[in-house]
Amino acid sequence: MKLQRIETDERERRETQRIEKAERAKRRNVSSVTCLSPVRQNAQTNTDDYQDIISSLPNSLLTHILSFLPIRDSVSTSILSSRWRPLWTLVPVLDLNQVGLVERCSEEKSEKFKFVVVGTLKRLHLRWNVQPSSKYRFQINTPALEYFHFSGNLNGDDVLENLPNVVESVVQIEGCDRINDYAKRVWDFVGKLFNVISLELNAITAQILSHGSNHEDIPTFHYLSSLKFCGSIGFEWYAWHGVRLLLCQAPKLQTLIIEDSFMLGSNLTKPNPFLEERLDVPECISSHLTTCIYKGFGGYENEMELVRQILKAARVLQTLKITVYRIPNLKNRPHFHRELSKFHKSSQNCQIAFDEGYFK
Amino acid sequence: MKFCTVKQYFDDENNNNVTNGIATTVIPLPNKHLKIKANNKEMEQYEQELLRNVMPQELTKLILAANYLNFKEALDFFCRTVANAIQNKSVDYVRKFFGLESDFEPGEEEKLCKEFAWSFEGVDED
Repeated sequence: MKLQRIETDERERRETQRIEKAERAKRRNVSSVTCLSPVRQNAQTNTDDYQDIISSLPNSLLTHILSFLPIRDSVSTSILSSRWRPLWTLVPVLDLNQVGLVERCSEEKSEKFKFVVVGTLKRLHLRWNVQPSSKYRFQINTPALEYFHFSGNLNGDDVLENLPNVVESVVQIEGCDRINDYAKRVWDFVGKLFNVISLELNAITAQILSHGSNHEDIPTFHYLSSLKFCGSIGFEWYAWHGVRLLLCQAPKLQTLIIEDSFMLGSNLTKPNPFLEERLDVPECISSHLTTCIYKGFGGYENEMELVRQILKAARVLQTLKITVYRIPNLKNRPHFHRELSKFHKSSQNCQIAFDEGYFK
Repeated sequence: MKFCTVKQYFDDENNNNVTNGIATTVIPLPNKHLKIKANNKEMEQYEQELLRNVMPQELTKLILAANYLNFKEALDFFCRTVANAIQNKSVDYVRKFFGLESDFEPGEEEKLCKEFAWSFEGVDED
C-alpha cells in the first residue's frame, strides 16, 4: 500500500513539474512574439542599441504598465505608434472621472455621449453626475467586469447590461430623476449584479429601493455574502424597508455592515414605523448571518430595537460588533452597554463587542 | 512559492530571457521588498535610484525577468516605475524615453491628436 502511494506521489510530482515546465516555455515564447518586423528583431539582440527596447514587451505587459496610469495618460499613449494605438482599450482597469470628459464633449452635436467599453474590462469606477435634463447617457456592456463602483445619478436612458462576473460592487446613487418607476429602475440596475458576492450601497440607494413594492420584479442575489450600507441621508427618509427587501433576496448572506447610517430615520426619539411592522425573519438572517457590524451606533431607541431584532432572529450569529462614533446621549451611554448584553440571543455562541471609536 | 521558478530556472537549459546581470538584480529583490514594504519613503528613494541608474532598456529587461520568474510584486513594482516615469509627460518625451518612432501616416497622427485632445492637456514641460 505504502509503495503504491509513494509511486503516485512521484507521478504527481513529475506531472506538476511537466506542467510548470510547459508554462515557463510558454512565458518564454511570449516575449519573442512581439516584434513587428525581422529588422526590429535583429535590433533587439544588439544590447548596445537601446532604441525601442520597449517593443520587446508583449501586449500583456504593456497593458500592465498602462494599468498604473490615470486614464488620461493611458489614452494619450495611443499616439505613440500604431502598435500603441489600441493598447489603452485593452487595459483591464478603468477609472473614469466623467466630469472631465463631458466638458470637452459639450461642443459635439451628437444626441448621446456613449462610452464604448470593451469586453476585456475587469474593473470600472464610474462617477456620473449628469443631470436628468442633460442629453448625456451611458451604456455599459462589459461582460468580463469583476469590480464595479458607480457613484452619481441614474437617469432614464442609462443602460447597464448584465454583469454576470461582477463579484464586488459599490453603488452610490446620489440622485435619480423622480418619475414614477425610479425604484424599479434602481432595482433593475442593482439586479444586473445578480452574481455579486460583496455589495455596498449608500443610504440613498437603500431609500430608493424601499419604494419598490412589487416583489416579483426584485432579483435574488444567490451569492451575496456581504452587504454594507453606508452614509447618512436626509432626515425625512427611511431606508430600512429597502434594507429589509434586500435581506429577503439574499439567502446566503453572512455579513451585514451598517456604517454611519441615519437610515433608521432622523427623529430618533420617535419610533420608526417601518420597524413597528414585525421584522419578518428573512431566511438569511436566521440561518446564515454570522457577523453584524454596526458603526456609528448612538444608543438611540430605534437602533437598540434593530439590534434587538437581529439578535433575536440570527440563529447562527457569531459576532456583533458595535462601534460608537457619534456622541450619544451621554445619559444613555452606560445603559446601552448593559441593555444590549441583556437582549435575548438566539445564537448561543454570539459575542458582542463594543468598540469606542473616535467622536466625529 | 516564489522561488520554485528560480530553482527550475537554474535547471533549465534555454534561459536567454534572464541574463546573469539581470539575475543579480532580481534575485536579491525579495529581501529588498520585505524591507520596502515596511517603509514607503524608502520605496520612493529606491524608485528614484532605479530610474537614475537604470536605463529604460534595463527596466524592460527587469520586467521581462520578473514576468518569467512569476514574481508578481517585482513585476508590479517595475511596471509602476515605468508608469510613473511617463505619467503626465508629453508625447515626444515618452517617445524619446521608450526609443519609439512614430509609424503613422502624417494625417493619421493629427487625427488622433484631435480625437484625444483632452488627454494631452496640462502635461509637464519637457
